[in-house]
Amino acid sequence: MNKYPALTETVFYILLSLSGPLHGYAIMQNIKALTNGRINMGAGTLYGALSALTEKEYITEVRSDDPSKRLYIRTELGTEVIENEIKRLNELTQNAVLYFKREER
Amino acid sequence: MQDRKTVFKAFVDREKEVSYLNEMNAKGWKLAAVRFSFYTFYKTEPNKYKTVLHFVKREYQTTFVRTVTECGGEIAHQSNEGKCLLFYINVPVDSENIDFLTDNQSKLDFKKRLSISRKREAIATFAAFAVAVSSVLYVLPAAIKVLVHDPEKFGEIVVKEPIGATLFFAFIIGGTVCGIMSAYIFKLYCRSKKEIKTISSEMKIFE
Repeated sequence: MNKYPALTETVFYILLSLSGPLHGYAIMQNIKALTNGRINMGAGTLYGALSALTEKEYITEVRSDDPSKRLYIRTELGTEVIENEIKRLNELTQNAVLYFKREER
Repeated sequence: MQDRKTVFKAFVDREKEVSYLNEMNAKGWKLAAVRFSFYTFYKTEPNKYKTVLHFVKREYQTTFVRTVTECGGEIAHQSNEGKCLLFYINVPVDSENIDFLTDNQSKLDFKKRLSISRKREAIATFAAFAVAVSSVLYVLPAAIKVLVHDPEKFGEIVVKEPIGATLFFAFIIGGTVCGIMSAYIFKLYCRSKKEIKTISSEMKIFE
């Protein structure tokens, strides 16, 4: 049984983006670039996800040089969660590939 | 000096309110402020902005304003909604992402918050209606005696106290309006619950 629940795409990509400190707009831009424009997050969705992740202590705010901008970074717990999710997704993909190869034979 | 105008509009349905604000955006009027159903607009280019509403928990006000501003949105107005704040946001149509809510979780959270707001409003208007009805029934016999002369003689009804009678009937009309509003808002609340169910079931398909 998984220690952590499966992540939504939005949460997955936010956690993935926050290996280093980034502000909100930069997170949006990074996710858009990573997904070749497939995920173009709205400001409301971004805010909701950042609030939820901060409450769960997967991410935390850090001060930046610009007082009008606040940066976010992944916590240790957040890193553990995303590593767990990557393992889960790898298992899914590997099983899918093996299964379809078997079917082709 | 920017052209501006103020319009009085009373909305019970938040979704109709947003539709109206976006009709004004299409005509080139951007929302600037809202005060007790008086909407103030500034003149701008037609179809330059889209207005959205969003509920935000009070403790996340600063985070929300910062996130929206970073993403190119403008906060036009905010008002109190119980434990939350209700923000009116103008989003430039040419911004990177005009859609404010782009995944099911955030849409679900918004619908839940809207549903809570509607439930509270339905209860408040129904309570006003109940108070008006019970007050009228309670004072009706005395009111007839005080306000109307010779009630037993049909056809000889004379209003003794016109101001009192006017207030009394205004109270009855007010109570009736509250009752109708309460029923309408309850209908909107049921609609919200249905939409929440639909979004929730769409999300469960992928679990």
